[in-house]
Amino acid sequence: MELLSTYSDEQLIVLYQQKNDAVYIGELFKRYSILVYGLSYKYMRNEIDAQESVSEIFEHILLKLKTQEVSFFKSWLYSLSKNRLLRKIEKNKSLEFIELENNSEKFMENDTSTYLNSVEEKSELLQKAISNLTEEQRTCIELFYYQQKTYLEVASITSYDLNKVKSAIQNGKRNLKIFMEEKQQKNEY
Amino acid sequence: MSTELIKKYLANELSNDERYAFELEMENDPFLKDAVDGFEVLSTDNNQWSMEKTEEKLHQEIDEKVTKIQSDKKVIFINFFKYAAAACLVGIVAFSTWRFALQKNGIDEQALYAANFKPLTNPDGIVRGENDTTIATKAAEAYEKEDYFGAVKFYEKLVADNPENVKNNLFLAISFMATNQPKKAIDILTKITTSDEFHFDIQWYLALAYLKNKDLKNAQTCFQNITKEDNYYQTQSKAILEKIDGKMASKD
Repeated sequence: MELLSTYSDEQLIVLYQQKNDAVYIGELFKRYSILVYGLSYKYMRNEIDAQESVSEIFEHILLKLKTQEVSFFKSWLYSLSKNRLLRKIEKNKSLEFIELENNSEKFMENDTSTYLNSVEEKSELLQKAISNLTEEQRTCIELFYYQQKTYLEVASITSYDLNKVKSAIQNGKRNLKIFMEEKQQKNEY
Repeated sequence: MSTELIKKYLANELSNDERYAFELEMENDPFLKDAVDGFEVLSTDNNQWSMEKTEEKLHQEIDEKVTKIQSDKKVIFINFFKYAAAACLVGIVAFSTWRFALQKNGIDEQALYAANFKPLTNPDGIVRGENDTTIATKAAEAYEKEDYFGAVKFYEKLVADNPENVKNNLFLAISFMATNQPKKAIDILTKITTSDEFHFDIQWYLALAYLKNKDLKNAQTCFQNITKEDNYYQTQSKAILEKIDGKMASKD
């Protein structure tokens, strides 16, 4: 057997589809299983459920990848896992509806991250967008992105709770994206 | 992103720069961020929780699943060949049985027929004149040259012209037998079995035609009739009867 660790994610998928041997997806999934577990725990809040979810997701991708072409496995796995976990939560009556809303909101925030990386420069538009944020969000964004402070440092400087810092960065990023998209749509920039 | 780095981040064991780089990475990678969120909650919920042990357990489970899938595939593969081999065996046995049955009920009859059928010499072939071009001559000539299809054609005309002519009927029947048409031969010969002319020849060829047609019972009757009186075919018929009797006994 070849040294599987030397293959890229995408090579392993191609090998799986060519040879129909689960060992390739086993190797691939091992690379991300701990992340899937963490993600699962975030939504399931239970070690047994999280473990079970990881197992279900593995079985699901074994089927999916038989035919599906995937260019960026990690992103694809994240979306697939997140969707499955959300569906599972929806079925779980014991979880609060509010929690669901919060979770959905966080996914939206996460989607802005890549976009923001490409606009880190202090462009005029970005500056306008930042000035449009709430004080809490603006402070946290500036401390984190411009002054390169860690979450803990931001929390220490602002005296905000650590979760509040994280949340302010998330929400700030989302609002920046919305503001900039609106302005671009109106051709103001 | 290594598990070790995540573990160090959670344990607050990274330097400030490393910590910031990790957090920036999280902001770029929502998958990592959500997972770390999960680990942070889990660490609070269960302070005994170990990322290493969890990862080890996850990997073990993945390996077990992979092994199971592979072994299931092998079982399916082996089963497929098992069933295929069994099907082949059944096929071989069935084919052999069929062949054996054919041999018992068919091939031997054909062998008996082939060993005993020989077209009767046509007396007209000896007496015809060189310039004789009648149908009877043409029929005899074709028969003599072993052109039995030609002979059938001419003898059919002769029989059509004179259905009562035993000799022509007999040679038409023999020509039919020589061209592998035993049923037609039987039809003709059964009409002339009472004839005194060529009486034992008719019985003999009728018996052979039945044999060729796999009608053992009628063949047996005909051969028995032949053996009752002294004639050219008596010994041969007795020998054939012994074989037929043996076959009939084994069938019962």
